[in-house]
Formats: sequence, structure tokens, C-alpha cells
Amino acid sequence: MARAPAQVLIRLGTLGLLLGGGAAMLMRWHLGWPGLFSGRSYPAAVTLHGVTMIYLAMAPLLGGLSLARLQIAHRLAWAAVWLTGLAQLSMACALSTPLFAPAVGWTMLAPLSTEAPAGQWALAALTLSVTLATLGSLAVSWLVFSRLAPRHTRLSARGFSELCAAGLNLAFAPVLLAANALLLRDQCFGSHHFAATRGDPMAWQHLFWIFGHPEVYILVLPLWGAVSDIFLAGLPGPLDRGVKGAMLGVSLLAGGVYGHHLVVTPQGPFVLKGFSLVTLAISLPSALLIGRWLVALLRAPPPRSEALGYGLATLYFFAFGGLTGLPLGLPATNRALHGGAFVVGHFHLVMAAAMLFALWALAAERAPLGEMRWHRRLSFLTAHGLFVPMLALGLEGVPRRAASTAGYVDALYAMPLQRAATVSGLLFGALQVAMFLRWLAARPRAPEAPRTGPEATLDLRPLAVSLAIFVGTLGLTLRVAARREGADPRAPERADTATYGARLYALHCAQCHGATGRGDGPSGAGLSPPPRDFSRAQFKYVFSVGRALPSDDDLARTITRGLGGTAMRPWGLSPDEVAAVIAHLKTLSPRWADAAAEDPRQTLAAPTPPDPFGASGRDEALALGARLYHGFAQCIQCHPAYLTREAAASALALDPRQPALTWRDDAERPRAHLARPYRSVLLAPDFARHRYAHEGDPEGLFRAIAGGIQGTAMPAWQEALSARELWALVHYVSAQRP
Amino acid sequence: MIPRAASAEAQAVDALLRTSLAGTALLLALLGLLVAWITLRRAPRPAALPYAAGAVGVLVGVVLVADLMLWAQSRRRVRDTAPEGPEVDRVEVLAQQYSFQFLRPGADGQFGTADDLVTLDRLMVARGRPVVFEVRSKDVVHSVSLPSFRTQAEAVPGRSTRLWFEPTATGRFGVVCAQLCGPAHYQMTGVIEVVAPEAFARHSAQATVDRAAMTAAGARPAGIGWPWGR
Ligand SMILES: [Cu+2]
Repeated sequence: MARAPAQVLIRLGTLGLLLGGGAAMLMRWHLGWPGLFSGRSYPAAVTLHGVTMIYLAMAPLLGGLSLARLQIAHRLAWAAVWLTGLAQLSMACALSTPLFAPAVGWTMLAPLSTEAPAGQWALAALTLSVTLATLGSLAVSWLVFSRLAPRHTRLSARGFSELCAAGLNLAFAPVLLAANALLLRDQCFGSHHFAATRGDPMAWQHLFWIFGHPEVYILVLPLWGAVSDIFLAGLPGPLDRGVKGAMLGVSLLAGGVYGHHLVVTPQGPFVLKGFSLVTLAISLPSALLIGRWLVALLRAPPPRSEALGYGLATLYFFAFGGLTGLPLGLPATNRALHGGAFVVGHFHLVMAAAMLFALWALAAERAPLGEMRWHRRLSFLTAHGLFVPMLALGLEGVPRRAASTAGYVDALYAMPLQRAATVSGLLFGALQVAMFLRWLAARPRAPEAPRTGPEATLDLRPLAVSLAIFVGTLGLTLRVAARREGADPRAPERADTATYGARLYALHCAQCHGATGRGDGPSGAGLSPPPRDFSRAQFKYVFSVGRALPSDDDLARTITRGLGGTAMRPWGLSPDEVAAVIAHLKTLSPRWADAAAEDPRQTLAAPTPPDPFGASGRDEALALGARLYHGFAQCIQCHPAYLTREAAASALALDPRQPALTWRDDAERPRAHLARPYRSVLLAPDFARHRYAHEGDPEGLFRAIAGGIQGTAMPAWQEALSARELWALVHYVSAQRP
Repeated sequence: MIPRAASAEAQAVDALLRTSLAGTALLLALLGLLVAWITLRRAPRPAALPYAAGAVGVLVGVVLVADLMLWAQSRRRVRDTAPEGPEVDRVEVLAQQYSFQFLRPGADGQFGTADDLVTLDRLMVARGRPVVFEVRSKDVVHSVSLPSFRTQAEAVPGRSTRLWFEPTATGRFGVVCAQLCGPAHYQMTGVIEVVAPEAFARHSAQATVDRAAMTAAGARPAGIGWPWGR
């Protein structure tokens, strides 16, 4: 019973490792042999991998290991278990949203993250996990101090490192919690803490990295402690003070290095110099740590064991990761490598390679896993094969989180490097899974005798002090960050809409539609159907009763959704930009000025009524649609054969009053015809074979049927058919595409 | 493996990178040998190591000296503020999802006037003439990264950032976005073309003529062409 919450946490953390590692393997596969992900799903996978590995895998796993060692079965521990479960559930919710997940990376930079779909779920996962880590830290420090104070028990290196990590967590977690709260407020309640115009996007970067960099040490320190215990096992007498001093030094400096994440942001050079010096300074306690480890290993070699082997690999990869951090600490070289694959390689050497080897060392200590030498050696090699190419890709200038490296002209060797990393990475992953299966089957060695009654000796004072620090930091961060929200004197001024629109038109539209809007742009020649001629102001899609010209909404829909089956693609413009382009379009024909004199009541676009059928009424809709299509509305007359004659005949049987069917086999692509409104003969599409404008867009289809298509034979049906009947037709037409 | 160094800064940065990476490789090789020896030796015997504490001290000292030397080198060889003066080629860069707009002030040297030259995702610069970018963002955080010039600057909405380089080699070099900015982030790339000064002068003259021919009356780009340095 005493060990239960710890075991559950370890299981949950392992689950996170498998999920996050699985995502990494899929990403590696995609980078080597592209095709698995799209531009949207790849960053989503990156986000899933990062958030899961840090918050939902390593954090609970390390918490569980620490609780298992300290034999804590307190309510705090159970709370941590519940929070982990909730955090993982929350991430699952983010995954199940239609857009897959918030594709913002684990750094969640505002303002991209402010508008990210499902961002709230990922933020919730983060907040829960950080709260969990804080609770765990409280439990650890509380327990350690309670046990220490009365008995003067000496701490092992691992205990000391866990205490350092707990301290860092208590000091910095509130900063992230506060930042999360503000971001959540921006996302859900329309505040502007991290917005460009009334808030400050840099505030997020500061707050995030104030926590984000110490977080690395929070995760790494307990494993430093764990391998220290392995290395120092042969040392008699008191523990090596150098190791503890080094870990304390790293912890003290950990809060002062975050600025090297901001080297390429708008910062004064003075700030950057300071941060780069502190960053370099952290290499000193690190060198001390590795030096003491080596001395311990040489002076009193611990008995050879699998755990020692993994511990040595951990030492090597910590050194590798630390040394590759050096060019990132110098502003000059940081500017060349920032945000690139080198950074990814660097921190994976520490956070993935070194930490994984340390975890295997702990696993091998707890339960006999058999002969592990080959796993260790092959993992050591493939970890190089995986992460060294990443360093090289970074030197080539390949940015991180890029779904494809095809467009980077400076990176001549990107593809071979990606493939080398992928092959090694998949091997590395397979090795870990194989050993994981062995670990699942293994029986732990006899557990240590549980210590009795830790709760009896708990001292409330350290808990109160920790809580006070926590609440104080939280309040201070909220206060400082909230004060930054307000009018921003440096907000870029917005030029008047018309000239803005002219510029956007020249950038995006003129290529096909021509500089003066005559549909004679250089890329428009030969398009079928030809680009719209704006000087005639003849538009197909007008969903406004009694109007000749489309409303702004109608135009905006065409711009942002595009027209299926034509060269008009969906343009990813912001609402402001769309409005500006529309304003410019209206200057291209005098008809718009005349239209302004029309009855203003008629300029309101009718809203599209909701679909009365839904998924359950689909059969009913299809039946009604078929009757209308072949019967009353006679759609079949123009929209040609899309069925076998037999199928059409049986459809006709639904309505005996149906007149004879004429059959058209001549539905072809539009032919040019200068006298026609669109300078071509437009034939009604065959819904089974042709691509058409509102394919896959039920509302658009509804509007086209209801409002008709101007300049063609397609009439407006909204007067003749009820909304229910119109929706039935939408269902029927949509169902024709197999 | 590293792309050709195409700017004065790139040569300095490469020298620093070579030093630190060579040092890394050397130290790692030593460490690897030591670890291999600890792992593989038959009968581990305690070593005497009379000067253990001193050895660790020397190690820390070596790291300290290496840090300071690299830091001094980097301070001496790479400037940390943008150059100024009449010879500097000033360009405003507006990053947006998913392109870069470049704006030169045109013949009058003033930003935000009718003769401004705007290009999308491409820019021509002269070899040997220092270039300073003033970078802004229209929507989310981007990073204007120039791998062959070994420098980059983040484009943060609501703020300006400076980026500078002195091209030393002619050719076509990439400008890429190095900060996740949305689904098409990886497609946010452009080309900086470095040409000889004479070719650049010819190009600028022609661009001015083209611009005059193309400009609709009074049309002025929006969002770009802000007063320099404000
Ligand atoms: Cu971008």
C-alpha cells in the first residue's frame, strides 16, 4: 500500500514516454520519407511530442521514482496521481479536436498560441502537470526536511538532487502557472496580455523561459543524483561534497540563464551579454560535477553492473549535451544556430539520450533485466546516429519544427542527414521498446523494508515556507505581467483600407485577374474557366435577395474558401486583409458605385438556415432530394448524366408524374466564348464526375442552389423551394460523388 | 557540411564554431576513451589519485579559460549592434504568414514615400556593402533567418528588431522563417541574391523605372514603410 501511488505515477509516466516516443518516431519517419504529415499536422505532432515528453512523461515518472524511494503514500501523492491522469486526459482532448491539436510547439509563443484551436486543452494539460510537479516538490521537500530535522539523517546524492529540483520547481512553477492563466484569459475571455497591439508578445517569451530553462534542470537533477549514487557506491565514509556542491551551484545559476533563449529577439545587447556570461558560468559547476564523478570512478571503482554501464553512458551524454550548449551560450554563434536543428540535437543529447540511459540504470538497479550489454552498446551508437545528424542539420541552417526541409536552399545535405537520423532513430526506438518489453516482464528485486510512520514526524514549518514562496511568486508574476497590458504606443499604424487593398491585390490577385482587374493577368491566360473580370462586375455567387452584386460576405467567402474545380484557391488572408481586398475590388468597376444607390434593405445577405436533416435524417434527405432533383426542380435537365440510365429510371419511379428524361453526354470543360458573361460557355457540372465550386461545402452548395449563379442558367431556388427542400438537394448532390 | 560563409559575420562565426566544435570533439573523445577504459578493464583496482582535488580544479579552470577565451573572441570579432552610416543599405522587412516583404526607401532615401521599392520573398543586395534589416511582424512571431550569413532576428509583432550582415560572396542564398508560425511555416522561404556592386546599381535603376510604371496613383504599401528606427 505504501508504494502504490508511486507505482501508478511510474506507469502513467511510462505511458507518456511511449506516446511521446511514438510521435517522435512518426515524425522521424516523415522527415526521412515525407508524406505522413501535412503542414498542419506536423507541428501538431511536434507539440504533442514536446508537451508529452516533458510534462506528461518525464515529470510524473521522476515524481514516481522519487516518491517510491521516499516511501510516500500521503494524500499529496495521490493528488499527484490524479492530476497526472487529468493532464493526460486533457492532452487526449486536445488530440481529439477536429484540427488534431494546437500546433504551436511546446514554447506556445503568443500570439500564435492565443488563436490556436484547442490551445486551451494543451494549456490545461500543462497547468495540471505543473501543479502536479509542484505538489510532488512540496511532498519531497516536506518529507525530507521533516526527516532531516529531528534525526540529522544524511542525504544521499539523489536525495539532495531531488531537494534541489523541488526547490527550483517551487520557485519557478508559479511563473508558468501565472503565464498560463493569463494566456488562457487571452484565449477565452478576450484579454490582451500577450497580444501585439495592447499587450506584449515578449512578455510571454520572458515568462515562459523563466520557467522553461529551469525546467530542464528540474528534470535532469534527480537523474544526476541517481547516477551519482551509482558512481559513489564504492566510496566509503561521507559523501563526496563536490558532487552536492556542483548540483547546488547548477541549481542556483539555473534561474539566471534563461535569457539565452532571447538572443534573437528585440533586446538590448547589455541584457544579452549578462545572460551569456551566466550561461557560460553554468559550465563551471557542470565541469566540477563531471570531474568529481570521474575521480570517484577512478579512485573507488564501484562493482561492475548493468546500472554502472548505463550510468557511464549517461555521464558521456551529459558531457556531450553540455559541450554542444557552448555555441548556444555565445550570442554570436547563437544567432547562427538559434531556432534550428542544432538546438534540437543539443537538448536531446541531454533530455533524451542522457536521461534515458539514466532511467535504464535505475531500472537495472530495481529489477534484473538480464544481459543488457548489447542494448546499451547499440543504443549508444544509434543515439549518435540520431542526434549528430540533427546537429549537422542545424549547422546547415535547417529550422526546427519544419514539416519539410525541401525548400531550404542553403542546406545541401538536408535529405541524406534526415534519412540517416531516421534510420538510426527508428533503430534506437526499437531497441528501447524491446528492452521495455523485457522490463514489463521483469520481477523487481526484494523491496527495501518500508520505513515506518513518516507522517508521524512531519513538520509543518517547511511546508508553510514552501507554500509562502509559491504563492508569493505566483502573485508577483501575475501582478507584473498584468500591468503590461495596456495601450501600446508602438503599435504599427494601419494605413487606410483602400491603398492597403491595392497593395494586397497587387501581391495576391493581379497575377491572374490582371492589374486593372480585367481578368487578363499573365497567369490567367488559358485558365478554364477564365479568371473573373472585375471590370464587368459580373459575379456568380450572390446570395442576396434582389441584388445584382454580391455582398461583402459573399465575396469574402469566395476569397477565403476558394472555388473548387477552378484555379481560385482558398486564400489564407486575415479578415482585415479580405476587407481591404474587397474594398479595392469595388474600385475596379463603376457598377459598384451604382449599386450603392440600391435599396439598402436588400443588401442584407440572408443567413443560411441550419441543416434540418443532420446525419440521422440522411436517408430521408436523399429520398426527398432525389424526388426534387428528378421531379419538381428538374435539376437533371441541366446537370447531366451521373448515373446509369437504369438508376436514373428507378429514381424517376419515385415520382410517377415525372416527365421524360433527356440525356446529355456532352458535358465538357468550358469553352471560350467572348460574348458570354464569363467569356466562356459554362456548362452545368456533372456532380459525379466534375469538380465544382462548392464541393464538400454544404453551406456553400446551399447558397448556390438557393441564390442561383448569376450570369448562368442556374436560377435562384429560394423562392420556389423551402429551406428543408433546399437542404435535401444539398444532401442529394453531395452524395453523387462516390 | 556548413553552408558557404557568405558574409563577414559568417567567417567570424565559423571560426568560433570550429573552435568550440573541435574542442567538443576532443574532450568527448578523451571522455569516451576514459569511459571505455573504466567499463572494459578486467579487474577494477582503486587508483591512488593523490591529486584528485587538484585535477578537478584544473578541469574547472580549463573550462573557465575556454569559456572566457571564446567569449572574448566572440565579442571582438562579431559586433552586437547594427552598423550605421550613409554606406549602409537599409531595408525594412515585414514578416507575415507566410512570406517576407522587403522595402527599400527608393531614390529619396525616405521610407513610406511613393518611390519605395517593395519586393516579396526576394531581395537583391550588393557584395561588400553592409546591409541592415529592420524587422517587424504583421501577425505572429517569425524569425528572419539567413543561414549562409549566419545570423537571424525574430520578428515580434509590435516591435522592431535589427539584423545586419555584410555579404562577401555573390550568389543566391536562402532567407527562411525559423520560428513556428503556422501550418505553412516550412514554406516561408525566400531568396537573397548577392550581386556585384555594378550589377546592383543597374538593377536598382531598372527597378525604379519598373516601379514608376507599375504604381497606381497614390498607392502605398501598408504595414510596411514605417519611419526607420521608430
Ligand atoms: Cu514564419
